[in-house]
Amino acid sequence: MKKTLTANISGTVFHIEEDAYDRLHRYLNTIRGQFTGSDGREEIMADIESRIAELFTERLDGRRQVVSMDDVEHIIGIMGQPEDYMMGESGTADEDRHQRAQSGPYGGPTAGKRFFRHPEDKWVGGVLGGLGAYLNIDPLILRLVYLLFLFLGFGFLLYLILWIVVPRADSAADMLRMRGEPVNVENIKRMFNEGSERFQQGARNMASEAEELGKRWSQSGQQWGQGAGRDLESGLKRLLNVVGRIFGVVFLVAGAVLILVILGALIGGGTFTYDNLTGLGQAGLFELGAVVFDSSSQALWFITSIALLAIIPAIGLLIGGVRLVTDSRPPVWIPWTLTIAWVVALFAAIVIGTRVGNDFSEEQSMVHELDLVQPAGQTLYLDLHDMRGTGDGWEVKYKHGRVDWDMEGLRITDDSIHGAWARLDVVPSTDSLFHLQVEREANGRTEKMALARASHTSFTYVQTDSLVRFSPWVDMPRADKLRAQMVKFVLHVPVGRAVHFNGGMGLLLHDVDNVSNTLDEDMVGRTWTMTTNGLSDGVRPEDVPDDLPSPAAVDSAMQRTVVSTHVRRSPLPNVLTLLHCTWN
Amino acid sequence: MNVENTKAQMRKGVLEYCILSTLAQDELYPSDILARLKEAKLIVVEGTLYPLLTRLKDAGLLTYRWEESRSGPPRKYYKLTTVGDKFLNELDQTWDELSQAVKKTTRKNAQR
Repeated sequence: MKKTLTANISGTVFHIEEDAYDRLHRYLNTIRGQFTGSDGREEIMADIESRIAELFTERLDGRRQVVSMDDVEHIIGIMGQPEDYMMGESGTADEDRHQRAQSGPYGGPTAGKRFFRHPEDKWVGGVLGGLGAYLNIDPLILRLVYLLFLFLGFGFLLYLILWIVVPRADSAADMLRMRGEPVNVENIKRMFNEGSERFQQGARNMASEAEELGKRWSQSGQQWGQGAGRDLESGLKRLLNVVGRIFGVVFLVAGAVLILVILGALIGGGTFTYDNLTGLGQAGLFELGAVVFDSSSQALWFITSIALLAIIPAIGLLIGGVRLVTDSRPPVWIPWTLTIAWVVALFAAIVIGTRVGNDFSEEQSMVHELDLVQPAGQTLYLDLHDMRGTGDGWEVKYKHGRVDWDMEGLRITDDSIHGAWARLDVVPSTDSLFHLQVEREANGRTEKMALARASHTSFTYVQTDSLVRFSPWVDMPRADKLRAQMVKFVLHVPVGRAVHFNGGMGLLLHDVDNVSNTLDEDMVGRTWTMTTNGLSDGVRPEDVPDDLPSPAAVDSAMQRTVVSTHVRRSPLPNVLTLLHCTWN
Repeated sequence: MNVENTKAQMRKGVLEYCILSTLAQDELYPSDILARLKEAKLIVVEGTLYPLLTRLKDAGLLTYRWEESRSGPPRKYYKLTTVGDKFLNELDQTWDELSQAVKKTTRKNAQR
């Protein structure tokens, strides 16, 4: 059973089903809306209604009583969709108006356009709505372009100035001038007609459906009142939404990349490689941690907490990105858990870090004189000692001339730590002889512990005649931990004598003073003569006034090789006993 | 420059011309006019016709008389006014010129 209504269409009475009536009513209203501003709207509507009545009559054909939804759809099929009604006009009603605006209604001259602020088509002050009417451009496009200017920085000020300077189109004449239509009686009348037609229509509807419509109108009136305020707000919201999404994507990508990098550093043991020098074994992050921290579990805790400190903000970025992009909120426990985990990690890192840091609080160094046979000639040749020769087959590799690593070697075995970071400095000798010293340095909780560590470090150098070769390797017992143990050879060169750095020495040279301020790596392959001003490669030893005893005083015919070896965990002060010298 | 707008402008002019032409001999009722235009595939729905007829009538080119109908409300039968007649003659002439011009230009285009 269906409810039917009685409708009077163009003087004929029809029984029409309720849904069919609604459909037809909406259809006619839409068409009516299309003709806003057309002079003969009522007549056109009457013609259309009349034709519809005729079509219904034909279709019912006296056999049926009631117009159904099917019938309405059928009639719409014959009459056409609302936009079809405008086919005979020039495009849409809007374009028609624009066209009239350009040429005047009968091709007459157009009055000069003026730039007004649009009182109705506006988001904020109606500046762009008015500009759109003035330039005949959809204000939406102008608004989008304006947003671009806003980002460039000066858009806001520009808008304020225009808002103040450009008058608002308050009168009907202003509105016409804004659109560029000539200000004549006819056009003003048309403006009012557009308005009054709307009013008349409203009044008619009110008469027939007073109660229902009255309610709806007051409701929509309220909505309009709220809507006016909301327009600006929703515009800003839309803008924020777009910006938010862009940031969201950036956050997502940044967070994901960060997490991958951190995980890669943790898992990929090869990321921290300290074995460039030896090509043997690898010191992974945890292995390195084990020789810095008291225990490997402490190292694990520290590395884990540092990793958490880094990875939690990355996860936060990722979650924030997801939230901005998808508008979905993560469960509230996630940010809380992350925050708490971060604080705990920070606490753990500080506690462990402080403990280890304390072990670095005292720094001590010790200097010892090493055996050195004076060279037969004027020049002492220095080179890298490339073989450990101690039986475990370690080899210091280097490319001749140009050293090709940038990280210190580090190798960890069960009972010792080996680092390729021994250094060599060259200074003037206070007497007429070459002297070789070693300075060893380490850190500890107390001075005594620092000194003990320094004494535990061992080093290697080998002399063959006038060639002295230094190993870059510094060895220390594993029980000592890595506490910034350093070994620095200091070669004292008398004035008038020279040193020559062979290719591999670039690794060992460290900030060697010279008169030409040549960089360490550029000092290799050259002979440097000690002058009263310092090392110089511009003078030969012969040129330096020499009132010192000649090295010839030392028996030059005797071939000597000094090999220094080392014993770990030697009794503290007596380093010289570590040196075993052989004379051939 | 909007192609839809241009198309609409072209169609508008041609439609007016065709409607006036259908009314050159006979006095017609919108459904009859539509039947002829439909045949020529100029319009497919009736809705398009009503605004046009009203506009032409308001411009003084058409006039109508009411005729009672057995199957519904009274019908409007349209015919040309004398002004409309003159208007149509002018359009005939313009159309000839235009179609010549279009033919020439398009043929020229084809030769290129």
